[in-house]
Amino acid sequence: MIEKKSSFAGFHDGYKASNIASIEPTLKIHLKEILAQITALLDVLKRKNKSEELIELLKRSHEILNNESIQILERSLSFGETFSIYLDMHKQIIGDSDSEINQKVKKIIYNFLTLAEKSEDTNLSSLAIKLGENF
Amino acid sequence: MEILIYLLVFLFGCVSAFAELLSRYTDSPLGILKVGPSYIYLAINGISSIIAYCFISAYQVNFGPIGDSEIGKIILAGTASMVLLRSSFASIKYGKRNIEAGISSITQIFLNTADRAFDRKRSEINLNTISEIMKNVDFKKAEKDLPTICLTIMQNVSNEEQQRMGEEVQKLSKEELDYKTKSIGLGVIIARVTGPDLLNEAVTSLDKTIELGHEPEEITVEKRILISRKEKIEKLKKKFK
Repeated sequence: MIEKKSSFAGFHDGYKASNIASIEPTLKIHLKEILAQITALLDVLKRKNKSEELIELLKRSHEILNNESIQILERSLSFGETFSIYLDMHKQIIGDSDSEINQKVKKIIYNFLTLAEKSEDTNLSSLAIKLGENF
Repeated sequence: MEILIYLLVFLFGCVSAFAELLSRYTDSPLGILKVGPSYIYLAINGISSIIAYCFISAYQVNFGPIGDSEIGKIILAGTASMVLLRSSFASIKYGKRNIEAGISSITQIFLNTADRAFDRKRSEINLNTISEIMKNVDFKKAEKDLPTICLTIMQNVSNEEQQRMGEEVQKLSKEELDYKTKSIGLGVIIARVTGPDLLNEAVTSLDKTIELGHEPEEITVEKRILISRKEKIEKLKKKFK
């Protein structure tokens, strides 16, 4: 017996999977850029003796994004959600700009928006827009 | 009587080969019989069935109860020939290639030639038909809609086959080719599964939705959301640059 979810779901799954495979090299470039920006932000936070909790949360975001065993869209989504929490929890520190911290966060958001745009993924785009609008 | 038996063996071998061709060319099952080289392929299998039958009879090869009757031997010869033709007694590594030593290396040459000739002939027939069907189809409008309609009508296309189709269409979409080439390519990809008749029906039913040069009367809600999302991202990127 031939198993299928619906009469055309397999076609769209294959289409989407191939699309991800073809854009993955481009997404990886933007992902590496975000990772570099997070590292730069961590350096600034450590230098300015900002809270350990802040630094740990940001390190966790870095780990999620850097985990190559997880598919690129999934880790981008996880990162987006974690980074959102980070921004919500520490709005004052970031928003009160020390402009260096603020600028670094803006670069991360910019690169995340670009990543979402290139992915053409609905969920990732919605998350990126929410992140950008809430900041 | 013996001639009749050999004839039955030959026919059974042909039927086995025909079943193999059917599994390979699912989009044009009866079309196989319109192409000359397919008869060569069937004949090769038929003859090897006779050889297998002679072998079984001459050496009284024991296949259990089924081999005791003539009918059993005919069936065994017909199906065993498929195995015999593809058997080898050794596999020799030569550089990066593996060379099969046995009957399979000889019969494979004949089979590949017949197979390729069949594919070429079939491609000619199909290409003319598909070009005609797809001549007014806009690839960009049809790349998702047309396969979706076709697959909705078909009930027994496996998930794996659908995924392969989706991957092929997506790759075609990314290629920098002329739009007409892409439209024909899309038609070929779909017709391999559905056959040209269903493809033609689907193109006719979608009509102006996928027609070249025809602008849609309204943008769908989904497309509107997509455009809005893109615009928001662009706007936000300017804010964070």
